[in-house]
Amino acid sequence: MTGSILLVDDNAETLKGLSLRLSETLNDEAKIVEWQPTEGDGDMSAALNDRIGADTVLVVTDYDLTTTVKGLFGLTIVSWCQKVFVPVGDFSRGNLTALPKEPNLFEMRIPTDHTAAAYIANAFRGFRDIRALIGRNRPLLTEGASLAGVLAEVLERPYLESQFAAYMSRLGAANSFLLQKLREFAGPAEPDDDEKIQILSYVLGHVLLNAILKYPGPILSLNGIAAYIATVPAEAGAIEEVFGTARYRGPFSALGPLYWRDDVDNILDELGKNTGNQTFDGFGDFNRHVVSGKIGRELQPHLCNRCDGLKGGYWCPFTSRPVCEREDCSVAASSWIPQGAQLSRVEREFYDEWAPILGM
Amino acid sequence: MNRDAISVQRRLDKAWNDIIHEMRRMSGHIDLRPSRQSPFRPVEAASPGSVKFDVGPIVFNVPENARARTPNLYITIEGWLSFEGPDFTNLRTKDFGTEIAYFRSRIGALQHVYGAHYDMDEARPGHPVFHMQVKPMVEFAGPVNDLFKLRAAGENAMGTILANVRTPSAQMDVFSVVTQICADHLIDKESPKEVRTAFKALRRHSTFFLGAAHRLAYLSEPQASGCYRSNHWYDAPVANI
Repeated sequence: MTGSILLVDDNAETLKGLSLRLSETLNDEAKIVEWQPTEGDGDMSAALNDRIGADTVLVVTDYDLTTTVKGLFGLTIVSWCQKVFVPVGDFSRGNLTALPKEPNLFEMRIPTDHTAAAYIANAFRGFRDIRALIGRNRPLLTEGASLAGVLAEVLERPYLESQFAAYMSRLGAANSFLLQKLREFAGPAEPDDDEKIQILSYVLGHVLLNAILKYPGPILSLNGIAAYIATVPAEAGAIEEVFGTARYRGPFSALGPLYWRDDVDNILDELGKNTGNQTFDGFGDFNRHVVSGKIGRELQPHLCNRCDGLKGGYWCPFTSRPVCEREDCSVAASSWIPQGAQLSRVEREFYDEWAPILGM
Repeated sequence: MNRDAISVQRRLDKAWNDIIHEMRRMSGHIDLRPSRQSPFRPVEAASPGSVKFDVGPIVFNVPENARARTPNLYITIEGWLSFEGPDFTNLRTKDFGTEIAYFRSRIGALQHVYGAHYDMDEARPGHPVFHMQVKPMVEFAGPVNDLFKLRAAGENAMGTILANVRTPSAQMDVFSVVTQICADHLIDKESPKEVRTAFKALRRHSTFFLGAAHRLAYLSEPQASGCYRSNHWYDAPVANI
């Protein structure tokens, strides 16, 4: 047993059902703690803190808890957890449409369908693993490394520090509790190593899960790598066949197939050795050409009427489609996309419609 | 673009990211535009077997010196850089050209306070192989306005500059020029250890390619490489026929 998950729900049956599914998924990897808040619990904030221990890796809460405690919503639980730097996910059954589509950086939206238990298990393992990895690299806590430097070191790619750093340029604006905590440490409060590890794993876990793995840059999701080679995610089999050795196997890797971009590039370089002086409009064309050559057939085109689905290289996180550098296809990423997401651009049609809001 | 250009561009982009990262570690008071796309664009090289990239325009916003906290200087860089093949494993400069223009921010105006052009010439008599020409480039206020969303008028504060003064220089390609910007504006003798460490790392990230002097025998001979006086910069064989 290396950690626990606290489940919060006002519906006893649902609470029990999720707890059971999680126990089946995680076996004895995690202790599952159930909490159905009631008016009898008294001060809700204190009641929550009583149930959060040093081994609590993750809290999962339902959105609406008002049937057992008047006025208590999941968002309050989320806020209290953020205050003590414990990762938290919203689990909603009835108010899905009221939730924002994309999560905030320090929050997780847990799917409401049958994948919920798998998602929670993956989040639990990811935060647990990142905490363990930092714990095993304690010298990092005193060597003056940057946040990005710590992440690059624990993922065993120290040369990617600058790329990870670009995802972290606005952390202060994303979590005021974090700033407040750092202010306390600037005063007489002295954090011990465990406290530092908890805060570091909290911040880096969320950045990894909600930014680095989501917006293509140094690590490519299935959508990202499909766009990079100008095809569709349905080519997952061919992608795995060609890039299997580039798989990312770090924290949260169960999210789906993920690939290290630098390893992918090395494979593409090797595959492209026979292309001689053949010229290509862009690197997306080159990538598609050499992968098609490797698998012995043309990769499926994606759905784009500008290029017949043959170009790509970048992925638009708004329209979730491959795009290329052509002026009529996409524009450089907006301020809504993390700076490190070098393989993300905004599809032109969407940008033209929303340009003032996108703040280009 | 061919596979060599694609591969070299990845290395340029990686080095650029690393350098900008170190630059931000040197000072929290800098900005750079564009910050979300590569400043390098592959173009057709003049000679077969080499790859060439246009660079920029890139605009840095930095303080005038390491002690100043207000970034009131805009610096526009534009140029090109090419590498010789056929083996691009160890990158070697073929040739380059860099233009750089400095503007001091004033209310409603961009005061053009310095401009220079760097390139190399191996053919023309009287041209030092690597050289610098100071010249006003007030038109480079355009990229400052475009990239930083300003509406400031460019004002030439450089006065009248003699155009044909070619001062022998180091190889001031875009990476060298960025190093110079950091040296001039982000570090001084009072700078703490973290800044000096970042500056050292920044310079290390620029070492991924070799300068063009590797193929210029007249700069590599002992009397030149152990001397560095400018007379050696004029010894290109073609320029001395």
